[in-house]
Amino acid sequence: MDNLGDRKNDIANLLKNKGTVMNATQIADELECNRANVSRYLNDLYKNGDVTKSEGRPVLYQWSSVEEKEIRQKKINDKSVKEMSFKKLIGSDDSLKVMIQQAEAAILYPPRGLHTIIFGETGTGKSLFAECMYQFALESEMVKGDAPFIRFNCADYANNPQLLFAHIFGVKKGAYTGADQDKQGLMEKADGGILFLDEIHRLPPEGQEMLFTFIDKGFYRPLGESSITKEASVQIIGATTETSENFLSTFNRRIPMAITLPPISKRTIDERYGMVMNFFEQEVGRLNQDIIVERDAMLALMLYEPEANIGQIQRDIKVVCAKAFLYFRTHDATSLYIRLKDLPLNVQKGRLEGKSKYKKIDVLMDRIAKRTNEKNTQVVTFKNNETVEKNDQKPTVYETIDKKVSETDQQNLKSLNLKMLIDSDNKGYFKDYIEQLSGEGVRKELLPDDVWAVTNEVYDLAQNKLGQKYNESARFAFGLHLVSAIERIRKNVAIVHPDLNNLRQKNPKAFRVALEMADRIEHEFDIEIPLDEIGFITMFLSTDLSEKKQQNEIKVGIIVLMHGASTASSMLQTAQELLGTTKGKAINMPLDVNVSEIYDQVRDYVLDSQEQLKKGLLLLTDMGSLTSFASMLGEETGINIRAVSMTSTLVVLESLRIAIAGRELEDIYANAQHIFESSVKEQFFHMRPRKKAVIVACFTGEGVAARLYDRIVPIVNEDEVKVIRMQYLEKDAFKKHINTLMRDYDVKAIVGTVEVSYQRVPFFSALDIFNDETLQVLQRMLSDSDLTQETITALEGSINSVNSVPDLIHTIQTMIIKIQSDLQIVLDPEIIVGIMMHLAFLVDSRLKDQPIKPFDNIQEYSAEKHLQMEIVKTALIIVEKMYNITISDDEVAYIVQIFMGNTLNKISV
Amino acid sequence: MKTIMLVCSAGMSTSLLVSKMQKAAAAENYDSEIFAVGASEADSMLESKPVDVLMLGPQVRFMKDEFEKKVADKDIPVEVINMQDYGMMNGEKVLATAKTLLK
Repeated sequence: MDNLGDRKNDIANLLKNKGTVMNATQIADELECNRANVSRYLNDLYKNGDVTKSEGRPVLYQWSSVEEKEIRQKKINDKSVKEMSFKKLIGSDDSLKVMIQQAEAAILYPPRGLHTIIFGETGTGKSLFAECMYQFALESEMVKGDAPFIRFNCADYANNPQLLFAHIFGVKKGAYTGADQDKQGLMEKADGGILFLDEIHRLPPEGQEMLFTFIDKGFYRPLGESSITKEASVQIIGATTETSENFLSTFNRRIPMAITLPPISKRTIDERYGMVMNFFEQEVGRLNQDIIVERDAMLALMLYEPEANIGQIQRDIKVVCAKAFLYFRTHDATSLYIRLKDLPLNVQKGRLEGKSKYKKIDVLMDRIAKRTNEKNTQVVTFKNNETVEKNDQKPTVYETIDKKVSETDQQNLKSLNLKMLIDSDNKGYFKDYIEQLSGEGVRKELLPDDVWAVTNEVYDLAQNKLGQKYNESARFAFGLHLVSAIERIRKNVAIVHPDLNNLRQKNPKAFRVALEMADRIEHEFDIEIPLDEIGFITMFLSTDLSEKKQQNEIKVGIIVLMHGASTASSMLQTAQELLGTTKGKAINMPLDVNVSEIYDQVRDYVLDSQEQLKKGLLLLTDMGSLTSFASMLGEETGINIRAVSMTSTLVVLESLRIAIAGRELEDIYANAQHIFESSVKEQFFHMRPRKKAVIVACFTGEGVAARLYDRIVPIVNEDEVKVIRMQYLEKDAFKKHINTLMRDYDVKAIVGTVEVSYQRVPFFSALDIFNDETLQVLQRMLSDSDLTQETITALEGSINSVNSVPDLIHTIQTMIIKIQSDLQIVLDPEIIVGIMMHLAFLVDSRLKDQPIKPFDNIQEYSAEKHLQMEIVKTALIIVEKMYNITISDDEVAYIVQIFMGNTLNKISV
Repeated sequence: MKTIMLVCSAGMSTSLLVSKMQKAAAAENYDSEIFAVGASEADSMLESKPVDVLMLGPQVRFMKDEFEKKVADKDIPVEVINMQDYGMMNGEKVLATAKTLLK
């Protein structure tokens, strides 16, 4: 089955049968395959102890006898023991010095060491540290040479407390149905050694109690055991990312030794340097290949802020190496080269950052230069040193890529990319790898491994059957949904899908796949999934629910209908030119033409283009009387028609733009009205104050929404912000519901499992909400720090070029919201205050005709940020028209720079 | 005498704040020179003037690291102006912040 191993086996067999020495070229000729690959496999065989090799060149290989193999294996083992000791940890003499002293004390404390808890953020190396403690216990002979080291992640069974308890403490026969014999727990297996409990905070209360009993008294009871207690000589090492007061007070009191590992930001730059070097050297070992890294890329890797600390740096390096390797193999490149631009964006940004560490940069540069010792000081070369040992027997990701490449024919070779390989990976070679790469931290916190595994399995199935891609964010949302669905079903809480039959009829294919998925889930979790639940699963799959995939479909039609011989056509033309489109229809109404003739003209157009107008039509007119056309036309043609009066060029521009983007008629209509209101209405009457709200939605309105609700409520002032839970069944109905809410609430954000774009309300995904950084942004957006009034007061009297400062500020605010939504970014309110000031003074300076400050490299910048420039320019038309001013490209560039420079680094999965 | 330099994008919005700060400084007899520049002119200004403290408009917060790097050898503190103070163009408060930074 393991195709990957075939080639390796061929080589092994050849050497075994010949019994003589051979070099790589001879073997390659004999087997008619690529020499580089043969070398790689030979190295593997060597590391495995299957073959011996000679010193010198060319290297000669020979099949090794069993005894030789044992001797080599022992050497490798001895070596790995030494490698694990604390001294091997980067920073053992510096950032980690105190922690290592603590750890040594914990191990050496008589008679059997102190139970220890290791604190630290995700990716700070807690597991590695625990392993080192074990190795130290072996070295210092505090435990026997064969003492066990058992590791367990408490998150693995976190949704099933009973199973978790049983797994750790064992089960007595008859404890529950199916427990037909006593079962040994980890505690027993770890007797005489160390039990490492990762994510110990996920231990349920009953598990905690038993653990504390063991810590205090040295004995425990397996599940279902009431009379006898068991004893074990086990040193517990726990690890956690949790820092809440509650948790700390429970655990600190009971576990005598607490060690806190520092986050990457607290490590010295020298240590970070060591880590980056180390990770590259590891990859070189796996690749059996030199890696050349651009100096700028090295610097970026040393300076960026990795979300998940050291683990993140390692992942990022692994990914970039895999990408570079793929390129190397598919493009006949001469060397494996990693450039700054190959790195993920957030890493690249590290190069620009510098931080306070700038002084060290010079030192680093020198060190890199010294290390490379080559003429080109812009790169660092990691040499493939063949003595680096590799212990893992599993095929590496590189071998998998290698195999795929050799299977792909020449023409398609260049189009091969890592993403495709991963997507087509149905044998699971990438599974472990991908798990390492994906945003483990957040995911693992919330989704038990088994749920995540099943989620991926059923989504892969759906992907195959429906021919559609589902990204990690979608999978995560489904996983969350699944957790609460399982809970509901186990508790026998019935849920009713209000529109099941309709849904089924509309999405027959998705429904069938959902049935299959349900089947798989039922089997895995031993539950029975009712039809209504399957309805909800269907919704996760059906395409028309997600907004993003509506290109090349029929769009809502736009007709501009104005009095005057050419008003309509010139307005539309302006909008078309700005947007680079030919969509939309202009109908001019010369004053001498009878209205009923115009009506016929419009009707004929609508009837002729009926096919293209299936999604509806928006009529943009200049006078209220023309809006009556809409209902008449609608009746006569059967097409859904909306009309907006008092249309300005801006309204035409905006409506056309979002119609092209594929938005729904109701949405476009609401948007057009919104522009109208904000530019006109606010001068006449003030809207009554509305309470702020954030909408939290999921398909059931219960499961995931409840969890999101629990995350959001603590960060808001409930007197001022209402968190509204809603069920999302169908897009239009959902939006209508929000429409109604808008009357009473000022909806500041929508949070949910399906991406919804509703007018200009920012959307946060479920994953965002479980990310502390993005959650803080939401918090600021919902906080009551509205400075508008104060700002207006501050500027009254200072900005005297406009009639009304409030009008100016309100218009600017609308513009800022619009630019944010068009650029699809979310800005911190702090930045918005700054931008508001900038724009207010910009208008003032234009009105006073003050000189414009040129923007450096404006040509280059506007070429690079073409789209962003256009978006900002379009938004600025509002003030340009309002004050009859012109805003130059230089000034637009400054604004783009402010918006893009301060964009929040949203998590991307 | 202390020199306070304010930086924002294109020097557009800080001039009002500067005049309010100057007023505040005069009222309390604080010997100082306060002025504003756009980000692109900041470099040359730093070379020609003995700047004691550098304050950024919130909209150019993203340039903070860059400036810190530039002035690190001169030991000039760099800070982003508080959003409330900026929104209200509160010269007194920003001046007070500048003074704390100088201590």
